[in-house]
Amino acid sequence: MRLSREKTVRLSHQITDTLVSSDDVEFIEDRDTIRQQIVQILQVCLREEEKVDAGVRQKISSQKREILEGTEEWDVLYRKYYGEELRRMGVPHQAPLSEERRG
Amino acid sequence: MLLEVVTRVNAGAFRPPALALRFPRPAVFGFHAPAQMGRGTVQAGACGFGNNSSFLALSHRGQYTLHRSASEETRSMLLSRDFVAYMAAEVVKRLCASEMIEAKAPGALVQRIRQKMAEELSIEDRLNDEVREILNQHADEMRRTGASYQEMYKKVKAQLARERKLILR
Repeated sequence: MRLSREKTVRLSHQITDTLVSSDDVEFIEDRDTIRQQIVQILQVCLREEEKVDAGVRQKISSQKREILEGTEEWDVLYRKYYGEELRRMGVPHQAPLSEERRG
Repeated sequence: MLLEVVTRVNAGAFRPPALALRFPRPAVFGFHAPAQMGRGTVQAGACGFGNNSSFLALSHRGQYTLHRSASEETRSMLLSRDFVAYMAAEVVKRLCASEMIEAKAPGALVQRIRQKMAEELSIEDRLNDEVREILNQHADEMRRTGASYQEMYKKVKAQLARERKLILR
């Protein structure tokens, strides 16, 4: 997975802190139970992403012409196929946060 | 060999202790002409040098280049922006569906979580920019001493990450 367990746990703490600091969020379960659930949710998402990544790499490597990883051509193809897979998963394209703030 | 990495940085996101880079005596190494300067987007403050001659570990090759691959330049964040947004939405959706929380404004909550996640996931990119800026400021000294850019990069980055207790990935 792209993120270590440590990083996932760090994220879960930060997300929990965000929930705690949100006035419009009501906690039904206790904080730590929620945090552990967040870890589970993140790990499920990361496993999905891992499959997407593996699929995209397989697609590139099955091209007729060999395209070496680390080249610009590889990066361009990766981004293209990755985007297609995310759209297939139902992940919408997001504007950068900075653009949203300006908008 | 002993590494002392001390630098003073005015980075906003991080609050590092005062550091100063100390370089070894000039070594009889050749160096490769720098290919391309790294892209530094962080405003780093002045770095000072100690008066005594503490030494940094040197690369045995004594190479010094500032080349970065195209894929390094374009890659940012550990996960794509779209996927981070998806993860944030999934967290809120599943927590609400399992009745662990109630969110009166889930859309706004997703955006806040997304922003928080993006900040945490881009820590390594910001650190990379800061390290590049620090090393660029000492480019002449590094050339003079034959210090290896790659080795210095790794050590400075590791030192800063350790001091700030950062989890990079």
